[in-house]
Amino acid sequence: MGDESDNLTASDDAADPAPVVSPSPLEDAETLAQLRELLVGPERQELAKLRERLASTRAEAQDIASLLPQAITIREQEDDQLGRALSGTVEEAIQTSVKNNPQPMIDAVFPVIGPAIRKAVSEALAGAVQSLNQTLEHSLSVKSLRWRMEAARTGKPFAEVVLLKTLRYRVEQVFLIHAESGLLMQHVAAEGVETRDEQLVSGMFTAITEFVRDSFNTHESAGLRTMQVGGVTVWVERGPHAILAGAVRGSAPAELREVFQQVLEDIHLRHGDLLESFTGDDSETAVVEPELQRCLVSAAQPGSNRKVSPAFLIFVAVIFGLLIWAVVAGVASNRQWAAYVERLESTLGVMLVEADQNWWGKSKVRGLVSPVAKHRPDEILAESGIDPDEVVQRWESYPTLEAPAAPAPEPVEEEAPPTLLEQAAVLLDPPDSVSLHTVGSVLVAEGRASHAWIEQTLSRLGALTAAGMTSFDDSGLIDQDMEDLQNYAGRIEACVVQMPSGSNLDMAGQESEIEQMLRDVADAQTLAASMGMQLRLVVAGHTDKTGDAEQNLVLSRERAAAVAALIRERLNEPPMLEEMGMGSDEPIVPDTMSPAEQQRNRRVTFEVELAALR
Amino acid sequence: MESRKICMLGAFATGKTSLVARYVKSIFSEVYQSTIGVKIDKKTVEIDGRLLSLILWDLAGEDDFVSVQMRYLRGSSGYLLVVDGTRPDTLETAKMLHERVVTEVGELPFVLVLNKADLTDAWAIGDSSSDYLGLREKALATLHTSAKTGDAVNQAFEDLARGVLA
Repeated sequence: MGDESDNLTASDDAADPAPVVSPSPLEDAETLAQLRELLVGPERQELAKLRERLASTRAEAQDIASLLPQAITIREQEDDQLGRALSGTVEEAIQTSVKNNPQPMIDAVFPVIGPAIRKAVSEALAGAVQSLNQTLEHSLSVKSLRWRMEAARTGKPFAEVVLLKTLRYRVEQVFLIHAESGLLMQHVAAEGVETRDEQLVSGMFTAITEFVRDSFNTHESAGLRTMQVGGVTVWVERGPHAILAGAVRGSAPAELREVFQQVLEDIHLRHGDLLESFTGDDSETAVVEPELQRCLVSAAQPGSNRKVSPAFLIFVAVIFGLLIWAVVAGVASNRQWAAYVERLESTLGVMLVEADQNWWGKSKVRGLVSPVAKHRPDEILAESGIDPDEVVQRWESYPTLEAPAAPAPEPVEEEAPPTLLEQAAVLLDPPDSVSLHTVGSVLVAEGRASHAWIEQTLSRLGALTAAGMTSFDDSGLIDQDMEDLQNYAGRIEACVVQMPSGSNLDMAGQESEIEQMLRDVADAQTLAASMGMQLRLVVAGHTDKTGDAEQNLVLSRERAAAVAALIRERLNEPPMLEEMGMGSDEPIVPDTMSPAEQQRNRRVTFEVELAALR
Repeated sequence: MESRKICMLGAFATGKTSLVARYVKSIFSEVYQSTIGVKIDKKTVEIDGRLLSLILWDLAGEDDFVSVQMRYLRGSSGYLLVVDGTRPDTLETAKMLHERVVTEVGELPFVLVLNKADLTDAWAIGDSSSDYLGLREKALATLHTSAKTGDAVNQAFEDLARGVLA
């Protein structure tokens, strides 16, 4: 105020030097007011505004609103007092909000609650998989063992291998359906999947859902989650504004439902406004198609894209190569062997009796070879390319071929295959007393031959069947040795050694007959031995009817024993002898004849038998 | 393309399914209607240069034993209210159904269809009926149709389509 008085005084002095006139009191007040307005007016107005603002609630709210975010941020950085102070209020606010209208809260937490639930479910499933793993580890089926081997080979957990092996599915179609109207918002389908009118399918699906919900009085927010028909399963996930339905063919893993959930949540999160305001125009919701495409997943058929380790491939290749080599080598070996056998068979002078090819051991060939054969079997084997160490050969020379001085066969003769008769002649080498000829495929032998030649011939006939012989006719063939033996036997059996009456065993007067009998026995014995047989001579004693039968039986035995003793005495190698006493049972002269005639009944007779030589 | 859900409402045996069959070529069996209470068809129409797919929900008819499930009308853009012109009781049912829609779903545009117009001798609904007049006043349009001859069938659906787009 002092300054104002000074300024007023100075101004007055300068403007008006006239004498000072005292104003009236009223004028003073106005002047003072004007002066006050000039001097402190702006400040007073600011003061009034401040007063008004302090008195106004709205202004306070505006101030707080502008400061509150910053204030909260600052306080949060300092301590947790603000959070604790607001917790009760916030909880009450949420409760009130949910009680009044839960939908906004549901919409808000939907994108968040889904992952949280899935995480919990995943942990539960992990435990279940672990349990499954333990169960499977105790199973011993062939399939599980095979999977276990694969797990060991690939280094994957056994449960994972089992999971992979059992998954076969394909998501064929995915529908995004307006929750309220059932109108189709978007639809995607896997390549090659034939679809019907997806809008109608969408509507019908919604109708079925409503039908089920209505039929079983389920909660409004509940809905059909799974439909399964045949090999197709429809999995349904519901959101506040849209429903996602996926048609899955095959057996899909539980993780696929998580994919569906995630996609539906993402669509709500990114395009919530679009879903909420949907009026039926699917072009507006085309933006969600890439999201839906994420649902079109599939698992390949087991083993179709399985990675195979290089070692396994090499192993398979080696096995395959060995198999091919075995087949090729087998075919080549067969051809080589066949050519070798064919050459043996076509070589003149070589008679192949047996050819046995053995894959796993040594092969065998057996036959006859003529000393004049053009090619020796060893040469043929060496030229065949077959390892000689792998073939066991048994070649025997033709038994009767003793280097005949026959000229070397003409080349022309080699060209013609030998006839059955020619081969028989070479193989059998018949003696001059035997003639061979053929009647068709029948080989006929006629004449006389030694028993040994006949036996050898019979043993070689098998080889001739390879030359085309069907049978061997030996009806005209005479066994000379057997015939001689039968002659000996006939003469021996015709010999009768007469005995005097009574117990006298004197054989005097019969020396020449006995000597002949002894020679015949000796020759027959020798011949039989050469034929592989043994001579057995039965010596039987006889009496006439005179006297006691018992005594006659004893006497007959004594007569047989006397002759047998004579044979043993006279022969160096006597045959087997059997002494028999026949008594008077086999008389050669009836008792009605004269006693002189009945003398012939007192005798010793012989019977020849042949036995196989042991 | 734009789509709209349209419902067929009316009493039992008023000709709703015949009207739809006359209008569209169905791909679903009619067994659905008797089993789950609804069969869905589609018809694409061009309204003032705009292509529109009408998804037709043919609901099982209302009678003494079966009540129309209003749940099926959720999200519907409109409906055809079908009356059998030879049966006055079906007009009463239509009026009742309309009131239920308003109560449980809300006001929706609808076209009142008096079907079986070919049966002129048996026609039993007079123009002065209060129920008729009341519904006619609220409807987008009122048409006499015949599923048998096809009279006014297309127009009924197209009038409704035009109404829901308005």
